[in-house]
Amino acid sequence: MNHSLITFDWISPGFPELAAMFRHGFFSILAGVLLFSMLPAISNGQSARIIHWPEMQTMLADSTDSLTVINFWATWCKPCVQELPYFEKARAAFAGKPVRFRYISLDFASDFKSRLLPFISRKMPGAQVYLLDETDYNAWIDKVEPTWGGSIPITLFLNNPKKIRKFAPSELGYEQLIQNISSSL
Amino acid sequence: MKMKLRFVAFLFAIGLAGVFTAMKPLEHGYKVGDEAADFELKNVDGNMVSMGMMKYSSAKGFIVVFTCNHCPFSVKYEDRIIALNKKYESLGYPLIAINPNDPEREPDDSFDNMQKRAKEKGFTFPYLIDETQRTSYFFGAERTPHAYVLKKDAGKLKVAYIGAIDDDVQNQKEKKEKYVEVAVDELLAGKPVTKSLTKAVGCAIKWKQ
Repeated sequence: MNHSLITFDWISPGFPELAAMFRHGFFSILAGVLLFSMLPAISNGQSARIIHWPEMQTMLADSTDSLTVINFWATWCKPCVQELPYFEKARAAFAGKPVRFRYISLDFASDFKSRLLPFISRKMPGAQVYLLDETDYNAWIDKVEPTWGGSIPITLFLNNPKKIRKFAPSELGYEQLIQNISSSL
Repeated sequence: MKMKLRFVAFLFAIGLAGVFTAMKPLEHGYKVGDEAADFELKNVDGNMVSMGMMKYSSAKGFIVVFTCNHCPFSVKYEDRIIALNKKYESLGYPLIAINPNDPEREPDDSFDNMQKRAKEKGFTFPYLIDETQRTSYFFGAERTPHAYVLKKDAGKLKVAYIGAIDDDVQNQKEKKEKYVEVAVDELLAGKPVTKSLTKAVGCAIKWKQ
């Protein structure tokens, strides 16, 4: 039984699968239970949370073997909201491929529950959204991208193991987005 | 014959390069140290305002803030903009607010709505509409709010600071780095501005399409 099969089975385990899990050992069961307990949170799109610069920096430096598409946006930013459906479409189109989508919201932390969470469950359920609560922009903006003037949306395409780094300084159309992803894989 | 063809191709290439160079957009946007051109824009009270008008003859400079009604960042800064003018108008640096947005793209930023907001908040400074967007374009404003500090220097207006108003949009920190205030204070003390350029995060200006 390979690993990916196991994770799939945990989502809807029947009795044979459970038996297999017993054979696989106690830790598999434990992991399965943990995953189960997390499922409601994931399916409600409640995986969004507030982060600070160190975590952002870790995300930018992530060297696991895949492409990370990092989109900086906010619910109050019209062009950002307009391009979001393209990102969600691309996220679905590249499901199962080594591409991660990370949405970095520059909404205010005070709007997290009242504004951001409802927006996510309405427009982008299941998306990995992080509210970057660092409003001293001049302290970090150049570390993300020196040529970034401060407007959103912007998108970074980071494939660190392959040393690929692309910066889109404004909103993208679906075709442009797909092109950027395909050429960064 | 072959040579002649090559020569024609060469000329064609030069011509093409020329066309592409000409197509490049003109350089615009002030840099620190540049001389700023005056403007004449309509205020919420219906009168035209320019930096060269009599009212401002004794001003030592200006705080020009590109801002608007709709942007959450601009809204967060409204009270601080009012306070800036309150503090610095009497010291010779009056504040002028300019709404750069195309009201067709952002109806909240129409002239009517500007008048309403100025009245509600009790703006004590001009709140001008940049209908042609030329002033905003020449300044190089890109977002709201986007602040400029100009200093009068031998009859000319020199750009002394470009960027954010302070380092705390949310207005939560006890100790802020008040970029604009520090710049004006330094100018008033006859010193050069130490931090003359910061990045202003905010809402992208809605240019006419």
